[in-house]
Amino acid sequence: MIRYILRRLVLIIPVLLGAIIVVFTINYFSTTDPAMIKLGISASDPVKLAAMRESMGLNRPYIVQLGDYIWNLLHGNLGNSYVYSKTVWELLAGRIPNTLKLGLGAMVISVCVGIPLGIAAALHQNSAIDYITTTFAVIMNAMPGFLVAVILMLIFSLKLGWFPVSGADSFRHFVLPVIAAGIGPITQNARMTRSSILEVIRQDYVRTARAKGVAESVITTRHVLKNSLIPILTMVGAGLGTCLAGSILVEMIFNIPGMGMLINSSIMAKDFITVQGCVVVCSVVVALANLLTDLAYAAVDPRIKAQYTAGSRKDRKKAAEAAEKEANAA
Amino acid sequence: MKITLRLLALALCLALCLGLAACGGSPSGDAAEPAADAAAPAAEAEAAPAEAEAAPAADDGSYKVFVYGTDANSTTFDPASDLQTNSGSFLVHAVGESLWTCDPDGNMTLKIANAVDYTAEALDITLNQGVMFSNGDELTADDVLFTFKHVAAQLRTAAMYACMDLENAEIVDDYHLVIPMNYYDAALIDLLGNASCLILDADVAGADGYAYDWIIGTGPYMLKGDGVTDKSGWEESVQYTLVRNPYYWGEEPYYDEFDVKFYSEESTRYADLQAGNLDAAYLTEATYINNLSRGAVPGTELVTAQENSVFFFEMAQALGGASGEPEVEGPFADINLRKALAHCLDIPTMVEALGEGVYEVASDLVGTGSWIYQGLGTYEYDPELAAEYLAQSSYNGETITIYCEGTAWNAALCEAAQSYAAAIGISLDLSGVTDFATILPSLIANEVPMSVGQASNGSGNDPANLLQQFGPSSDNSLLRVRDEALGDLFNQGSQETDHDARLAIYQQFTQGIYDNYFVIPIAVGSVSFGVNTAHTSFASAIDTSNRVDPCLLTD
Amino acid sequence: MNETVTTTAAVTGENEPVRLKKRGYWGEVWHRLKKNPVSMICLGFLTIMILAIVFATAISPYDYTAQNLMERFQTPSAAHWMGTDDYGRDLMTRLLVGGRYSLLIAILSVAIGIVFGMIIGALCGYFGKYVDSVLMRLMDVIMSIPGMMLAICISVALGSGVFNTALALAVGTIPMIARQLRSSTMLINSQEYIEAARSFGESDFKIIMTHIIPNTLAPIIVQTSLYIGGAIMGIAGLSFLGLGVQPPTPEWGNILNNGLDYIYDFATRWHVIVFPALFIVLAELAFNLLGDGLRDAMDPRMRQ
Repeated sequence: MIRYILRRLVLIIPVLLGAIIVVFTINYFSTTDPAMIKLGISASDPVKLAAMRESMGLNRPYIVQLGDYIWNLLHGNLGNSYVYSKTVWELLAGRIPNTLKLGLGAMVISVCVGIPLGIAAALHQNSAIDYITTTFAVIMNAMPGFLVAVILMLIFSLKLGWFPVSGADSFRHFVLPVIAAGIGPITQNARMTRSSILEVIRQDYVRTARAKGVAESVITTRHVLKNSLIPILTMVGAGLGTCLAGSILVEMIFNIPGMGMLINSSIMAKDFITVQGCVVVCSVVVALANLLTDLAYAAVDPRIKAQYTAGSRKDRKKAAEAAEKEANAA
Repeated sequence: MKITLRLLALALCLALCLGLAACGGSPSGDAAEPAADAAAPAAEAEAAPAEAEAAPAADDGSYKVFVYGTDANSTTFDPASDLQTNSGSFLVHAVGESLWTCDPDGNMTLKIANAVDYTAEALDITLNQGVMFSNGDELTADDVLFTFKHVAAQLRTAAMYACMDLENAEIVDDYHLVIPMNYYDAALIDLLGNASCLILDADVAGADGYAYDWIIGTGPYMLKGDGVTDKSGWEESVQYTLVRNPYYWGEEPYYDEFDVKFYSEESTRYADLQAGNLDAAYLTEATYINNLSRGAVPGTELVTAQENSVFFFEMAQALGGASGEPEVEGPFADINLRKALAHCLDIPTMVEALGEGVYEVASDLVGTGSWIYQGLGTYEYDPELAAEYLAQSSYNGETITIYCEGTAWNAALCEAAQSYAAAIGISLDLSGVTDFATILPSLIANEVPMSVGQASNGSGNDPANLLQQFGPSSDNSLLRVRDEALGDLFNQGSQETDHDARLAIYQQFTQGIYDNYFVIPIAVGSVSFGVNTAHTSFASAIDTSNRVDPCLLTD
Repeated sequence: MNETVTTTAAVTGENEPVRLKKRGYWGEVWHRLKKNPVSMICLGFLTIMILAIVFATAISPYDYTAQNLMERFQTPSAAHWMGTDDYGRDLMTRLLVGGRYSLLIAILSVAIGIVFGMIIGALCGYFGKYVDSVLMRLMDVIMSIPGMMLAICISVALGSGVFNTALALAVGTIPMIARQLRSSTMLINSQEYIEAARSFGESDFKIIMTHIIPNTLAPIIVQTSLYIGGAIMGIAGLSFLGLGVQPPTPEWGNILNNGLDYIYDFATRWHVIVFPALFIVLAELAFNLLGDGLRDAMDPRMRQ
C-alpha cells in the first residue's frame, strides 16, 4: 500500500508540472503585453514601457521565463499581480478557504444526495421515484448554473428571507451557493449511479444469487451496491474539478470572496497572471483530490491493493489471485 | 460489508479533514462579526423608523457601523490616480484630508491649512499645528511639498500642476511653505483642495518600495490595521474597513466604522440592499434606479445628485503620435463626418429610453450646476441632414472603433449609437466596449478614434478641470482637438484672474467646441444611491463633487 | 459517409447477434432509435430549431440589429412573437440569429475537439509505446485542469470572437475524445485485417486514415450530441463572465445574461429572461436526451 501511495505521489508531479507549463504557455502567447497592463495609460511612453518590460523580465526567452515561473512556484511564489502591488499568492491565500468550502460542499451534497437518488431510482426502476429522479436530473442538467443561482437567490433570499443574499461569514451564507454549485454534479452522480447499478443488476452473479434464494436485501447491499459503487467513487474525485469550476459563476452571484471572484475581477482588470495563478492552484487541488480518490479506491478494491502488497512476487501473485476470488465471489 | 464500511469511513475522514482545513484557514472569523452586527441595527431601524428619527445621535455607547456597497474598481490607494470615484470616496473623505476644500463656485473652506495667500508670484501656505497622521506622525510642510511633487510627477495630472515651481519651493518652518509660481493658474486653488491632493505622510509614502497598497492620512478615520504587519482593513476587490483614527485632531464624526463592500455584480448589490444588508449602495443600472424611484423597494429610497459634467461622445481629430511619431489625421478630422454623426443620433430618445427616466438630456458641455453653463442646446436628430453631411464628407466606409469605460450605461449608449450610425451608413465597431484587453494597445498608441465618456470632475470643481479634457493640450482623454484658436482661449481662461472675464472666455470656449462638433453631449451626469430610509442624513452627505462624504453622516 | 457506414457495419457486425433482416450497423441503430419516442421528439425538435436558425433571416421580417428605442420591452404580441428587448429589437429574431452563433461555436468546438482527439487517439492506439505514453501524459495534464478554468484561461489570452471561443472550449474536450479513441483503436489494431494491411506493406499513415479512423469514428459521432450540449452550456458560462462573443452580436448566453439585468422587473419584462433561458434549456435538453437515446441505441444491452 505504501508503495502504491508513493508511486502515485511520484506520478502526480509530472502531471502538475505539465499543467503549470500548459497554463503558463497559454498566457505567454496572450495577445496583450503585461507591461502595458501594468503601466496602463503611461505605457504610451516607449522608454517607460521598455524599462517595465525589462524589469518584469519579459525580454527573456520563453524557456527562461517558464523556468523562472516554475522555480518561483516551487518557493510558493506565483508571481506579482499586474494590477495590485501584491503577489498573486497574497491575493489568493485568503480566498482559497471560501472556494474550497464551496467546492467541497458542492461535492459532498453531490455525493450525499446524488448517489442515494441514483440508487433509489435504479432499485425501483420504472417506478414513480425513478421517473421523478431521472426527469429532475435531466432538466437540472440542462440549466445553466448561474441561472439556478439567480433563481435560488431570488426565491430563498429575497422572497422568503431564509438565507443571506451574499457574503461568506457563516454556514448559512453557504447553503444556497453550495446548492447552486452542486446541482449539476448531483444530477450527474444520480445518472451515473443509476446506470452503473442497472448494469450490475443484469450481471450473471446477481441472477445466480437470486436463483440461489439469497435474500433481496443481501443481494442489494452485498452484490449490487458494493460492485457498482466502486466505479462511482472514481467519479467523485473528478467531480471536484467541476464543482470548483462551477463555483466561479456562483461566487460572483453570491458575492463570495473566493477564487472565482478573484478570477472574475482579474479578468476585468486584465490581471492575467492572477488568473493563471488561480488556475494553477485549482489544478493542484483537483490533482490532490484525484490522488485521494485513487488511494481510497485502492484501499477498497482488493485487486489494486494486492498488486502492491509487500512481499515476494510469488506472494503478491498469490495474494492477487486470492483477492480477485474474494472480489468476484462475494 | 466490511469493505463498504471501510469505504464510508475513509470518505468521511477525508471530508472531515478537508472541511476542517478549509474552515481553520478561513480569515472570516473576526472580520465577519461587525458586518453581521451592522445588519441588525439597520433592520431594527427599519422596523421602527419613527424612533430612529427621534433619537438620531443617541450616544448610547453602541458601536455604530455603516455598510456601503459599491462597484469594484479600487486597485490602488494612490490619491494621484483617480480615487475620487464612488468606490474611493469613503476613503478620500474619511482617511485623507486636503489643505482646504472648494465648492463649485470656488468658495474655499480651510482644513489643514490655517492661511493661504495666492498671487501670480507665489503660493504661501501656513499650516495648522497639531495635525496628526493616523500613525502618530505630525503633519509638517515637508509632507505637503512631498504630496505636491507626487501629484505633479503623475503623467495624467502633470500639466495641471505645471504652474507651480516645486523645485524652488521654500520650507520656511515646519508649518510654513512658500512655492514660487511659473505663471498664474486660476484653477490651482480648486485643484489643490481636491482629493488627489490629500496630504500624504512623506516618511511613509516616500519610503523605498512603498507601492500605495495602503494609505496613511490625517482624516478622522483610518484603514483598519497598521499597514505594516496588519493589513486587515483592505481585502482586494472584497472590502475595505475604516475605523476611527486615534490621533485625529478635529471633531469626531458620528460613525465608529465604515465597511465599504465591493460587488462586481450590480444585481447582487441591489439584492443585498433590498435584503437590508447594506445601509447604502451605489447604483448605475438605470432599471434599478428607476425601480427605487418608483418606491418598489420598501424601506429603501433613492438619493440622486446631478453632476457638473456630462456624458458625451468624443471624436479624436488626430491619431497616433504616442511615442513621438508624427500624428496623423483620423476620420473625424473631417467636420462633415462629425456633423453627420451628431445629427444621426436621436439623443432625447436614447436618453429617455435607455436611461429609463433616470438621466436628463445634456444641453451644454457642462451640467446645469456649473457656473459656466449657458444652455448651448442639443444636436438635432435629423437623419436626412446627417446623410447629406455624410455625402459631403470624405468618409470611405471604414469601421470606426469606439472605446468605452465599461459601465452599463456607457455601453448602452455605444450600442444605441452604433445602430443609429449604421442607419445612415457609418460603421462603428464595439469591440472595445467590453473587451478592454483587445483595445488596450491601440488605446495606448492613441489610435482609437472615438469613445464615450464623462468629463471626470474628480480633479476638482473648477470648470477648467472639466474643460481641460476638451482642451487641445489634453493627453488625459482620447479627444485631441487640434484647433489653436480654441487652445489659446482655454489657456487664457486659466490664467485670467477676474471671475466674470473667465466666465466669458469659457463660454466662448465651449461655444467653439460645440460649433465645431468636437464632442456630442448626450446626458447630464448623475450619481444615484439606494439608501436605507433610516439614514435621513445621507442626502446631505453628498459632497460638492457629488460623491459621498461619510464624515457628514449623522444617523 | 457511405463508405464509412459499410466498413463499420462489417467490423461491428461480427459482435452482433445475427438479425433476421440485414440492416447494416447504422440501419440497426436508426431502427432502435426510432422505437424511442423521447429521442424522436428531440430529433424532431432539433431539426425544426436548426431549420429555423438557418433560415432565421428569411423567416423573420426584422433585422436582428435594428433598434427601435420607442418600443423597448414590448411583451409578446402578434408583431413580436417573443416581444422586444432592451433596445427594442425583435427578441425572436435575435434568439434565432443568436442560435447561429451558439450552435456554430458549439459545433466548431466539438469539431476541433474531434479532429485533434481523433488524431491523438489514433496515434496513441496505433503506435503504442513511447508515442502513447508521451501523448497520453499530455492528455492527463490537460485533463487535470478543470475544463471551465482552461476555457477561461484561453479566452482571456486569445480575446473574444467566434473562433477563439470555440478553441477555448475545444481544448478541454480533446483529451476525453482522445482517450476513448485510443482504447477503440487498440481494439481494432489487433484485428486481422489491420495485420493484413500491414503485411501488404501499406504505410502507417494510410492504415490510420483508411482503417483505424473510419472504424473508430462511429461511437464518437454519436456522442457529438452530448458534447454539443456541454459546449452550449460552456459558452453561456463564458458569456456570463463577459468572455465569449461580444455584443451586439447575439448569442444565447449573452442575450440571457443581458436579460438577467431586468430580473427585478420580472412582472413586466419576464420575456427577456424566460425566452433565452428556454432556448438554452430546451436545446440543451434535446441534445442531451438525443445523445442518451443514441448511446442506448448503439448499445442494445442498455435498453430495457
